[in-house]
Amino acid sequence: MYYSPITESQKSDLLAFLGKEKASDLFEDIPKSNRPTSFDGLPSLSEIDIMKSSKSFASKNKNSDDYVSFLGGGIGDHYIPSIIKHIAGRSEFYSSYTPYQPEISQGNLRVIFEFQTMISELMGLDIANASLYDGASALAEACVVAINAKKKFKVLVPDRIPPNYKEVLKTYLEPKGVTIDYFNSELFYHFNVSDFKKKISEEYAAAVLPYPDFFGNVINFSEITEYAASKNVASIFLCNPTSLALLTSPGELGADIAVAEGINLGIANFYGGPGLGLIAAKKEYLRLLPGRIVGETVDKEGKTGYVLTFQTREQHIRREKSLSNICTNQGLMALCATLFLSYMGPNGLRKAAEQCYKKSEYLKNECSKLKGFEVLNRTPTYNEFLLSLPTDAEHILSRLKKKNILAGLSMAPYYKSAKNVILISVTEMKSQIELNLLIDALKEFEEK
Amino acid sequence: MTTQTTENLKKPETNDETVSQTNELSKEKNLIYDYSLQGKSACRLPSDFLPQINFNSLEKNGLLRTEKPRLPEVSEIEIVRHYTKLSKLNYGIDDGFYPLGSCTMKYNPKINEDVASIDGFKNAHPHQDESDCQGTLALLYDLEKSLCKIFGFSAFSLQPSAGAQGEYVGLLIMKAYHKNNKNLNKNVILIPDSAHGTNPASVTGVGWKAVNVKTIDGQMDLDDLKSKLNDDVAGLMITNPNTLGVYDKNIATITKLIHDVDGLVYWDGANANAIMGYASPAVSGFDICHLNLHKTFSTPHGGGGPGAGPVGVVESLIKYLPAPRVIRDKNGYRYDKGTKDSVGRVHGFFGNIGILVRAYTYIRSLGSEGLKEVSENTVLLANYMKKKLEPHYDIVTPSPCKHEFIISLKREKKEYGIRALDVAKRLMDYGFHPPTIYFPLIVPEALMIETPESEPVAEIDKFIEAMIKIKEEIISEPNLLHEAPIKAPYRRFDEARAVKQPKLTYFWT
Repeated sequence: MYYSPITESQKSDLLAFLGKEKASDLFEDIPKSNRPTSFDGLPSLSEIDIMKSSKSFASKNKNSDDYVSFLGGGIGDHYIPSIIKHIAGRSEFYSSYTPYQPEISQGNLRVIFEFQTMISELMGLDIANASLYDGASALAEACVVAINAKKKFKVLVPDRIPPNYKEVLKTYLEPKGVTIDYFNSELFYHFNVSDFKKKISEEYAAAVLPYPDFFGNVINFSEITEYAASKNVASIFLCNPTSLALLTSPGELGADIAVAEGINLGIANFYGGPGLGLIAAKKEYLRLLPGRIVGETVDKEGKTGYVLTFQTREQHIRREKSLSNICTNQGLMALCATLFLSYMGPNGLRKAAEQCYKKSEYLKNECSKLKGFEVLNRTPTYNEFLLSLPTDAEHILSRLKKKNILAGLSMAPYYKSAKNVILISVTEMKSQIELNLLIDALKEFEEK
Repeated sequence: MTTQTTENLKKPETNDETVSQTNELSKEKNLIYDYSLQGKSACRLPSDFLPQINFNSLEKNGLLRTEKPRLPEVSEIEIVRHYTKLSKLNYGIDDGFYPLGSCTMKYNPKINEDVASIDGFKNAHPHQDESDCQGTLALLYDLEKSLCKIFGFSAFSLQPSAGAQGEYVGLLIMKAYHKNNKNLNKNVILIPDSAHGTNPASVTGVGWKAVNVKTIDGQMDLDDLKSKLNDDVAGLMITNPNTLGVYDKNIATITKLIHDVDGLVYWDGANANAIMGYASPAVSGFDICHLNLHKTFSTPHGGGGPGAGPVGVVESLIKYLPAPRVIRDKNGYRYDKGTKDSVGRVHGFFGNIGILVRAYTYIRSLGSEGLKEVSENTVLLANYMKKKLEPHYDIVTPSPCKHEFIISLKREKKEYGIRALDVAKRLMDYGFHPPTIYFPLIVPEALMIETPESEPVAEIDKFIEAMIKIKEEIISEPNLLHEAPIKAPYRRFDEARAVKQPKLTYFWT
């Protein structure tokens, strides 16, 4: 067997010590009626064969190297500095357990403490936890925090969060008896702030504020958060963390809680996972937050160090009274994000965000000049925007794909009235040549 | 840290080089912020080719950030050195034995990491067309089929990110099943008192009530179970083998009793490493299960995650699984969007694919025979260690145990004032990661020891030797235990202070 350090003769010795003849004697306590019927038959491959076969699987995938890709919708084509794989690839990090034993886990604990600091700073809020599974479950967990804080069982959500997030929200909240009220705008792409404000009332525990939303719109929600607070409704921001060196922080706009998908912070796309769920909040929510939290303290000799803390919130202590069941999180991804944010620093992160914004503005301008094309966003955007095309989106997307361009994500599957609309995502990774390649390719479809 | 011999472990003063080096490290700068100097930067981006574009529209709307986030300003070499130092203050499986009960800290094969770093897998975008992801979809399809074969279930959802999310999905499946069958009064889930904390927390999460069932010597108390059976019972969750390391031999009776009140039975697969090839939860009458691929299938624990917690079901429950799921037809692999009965989605995309790729690699390395041997060897090592320690400690797990066993230090506490925590910390001085402590809750002063199959016998012997030595110390020099650890990079922490005077970020005020 692979990876077994035990020889046959050692096995015999151990069995003899136990007074057993063969290994199967150690399983006599398992009744015959419980024995498997389908177990046998999976082959064992050599390392050489596995590598060959795995490469063959992978070769049947296309990826960001095969296309000039403008696909986004929550996960973009972002820069991953080389240091990340070298540090996160150290097995002292990746092969360690949750740091329950702080004396020999200061590596992980310090990373988490740094991570909490950096995420709080980006969000402009007091505290952050050690991570959740992904952006979608982080949004659901944030709603649960607000529900427990406000003791109300309704949340108000604009229709323009990512469609998959809506599904996850439903899966998480409905069984708890929570009602999710969706706010729809008359035009699917237009968000009417004052109409949304009118919907906010005392019956809600929280209002979800996408920042930017699924269509790339960035809206100043300060009026909404102020009004929500007056109605005892928590404001939950759903953000893109790469934007937060450029955009006013959720905290400054009045957020109580902010969540995000952190996969764009130096983590590979990997077909959508593992991602990184981020959650930050004002201090008053500390005891309601899900997941691990690390705090500073001292050891017996007075040396500063870090420990898991406020654990009475968690399932292993509080069991059925715990407000969340989360145990395993995305620790290694939090390490990647910490490395990424250290590498970028405040200025690098700002520059990257500025480039996202500028390149997106450039594309918006150029696309607007094309006959029959229209940029639908009415508010500022960050790095994604909606483009209405002269004809059916599927048609144009497949034609461009033949030129190795993934022009964006079709909105047709998500919104009935969006048959001709695509969501274009542009990041700091794109060169001038690549931007112009897209524009030239789109020109072919201009109305005559 | 490296594994220490049992000599020279009595005094804090030591000439051991590794240890003194590590001690020096911890006196240096603690955090990446301590290296920050204004204007320093590691990052180099391509130059801005769009200088003409300004930020007026953001500014006009009050959306342009005016105060920088306080991120560290450091150079690349400082980042690399800082985190290399931090890695040395950690203890991973590559450093030594990790006997954490119910956590299955087995070796993480390096080829898994290499396969997961192939660009075709790593750089695929989740919104790519299905036709552009046939490799990943084929792998997921095949992984699901392999898990079905190993555990006997008819289908798996690979979406859940971890065991706890799997539990949540499993309970939602029960809820959907009962709703469809108009069992509207059902709202109780029975859970043995030896269960992990996530079980009852998940039950509360779906709006149901968890009710404890007693266990006797690790077996479920059938009388207590019967007394709690009524029409309100929606199902039962059980870890088998359980957290005492005991396989419940009455499992077929238990599953039948639950089915008789039209309940469903959930197998928490946290301890699946112990039974591969020897027990099938589906054959034993379980309806739903989750697996922890980061335990049984060797994917790294990552200092707390990511994991993967696939959920398996029997044929009649397939329609309730989270959607989408990969299916195969004449044109290749594609996603099935699911029926109206599906409990819905739990991941923003399709799950922790990077973890699933590693687990699949492991299954293909070992095959059925190899997996069976995994279970044989972990059980063999556990029974060996248990028998070796029996003359020295009170072991509450009866024989044969499965992959883990429990020592209770109740007697040592009473006679010598030594607690499970003290023994755990002293084990660090001998170069080991401590076992799980104070769990399961039903055993006072519990040490929960698991012996993954990837440990060499010599390492197991060294641990046994350390435990015996510690027993002598408990009697003759208990102070050594109260003071422990003395050779780890840090001494014991003041955990109460972390709560009383909280500091949860670098800039905390």
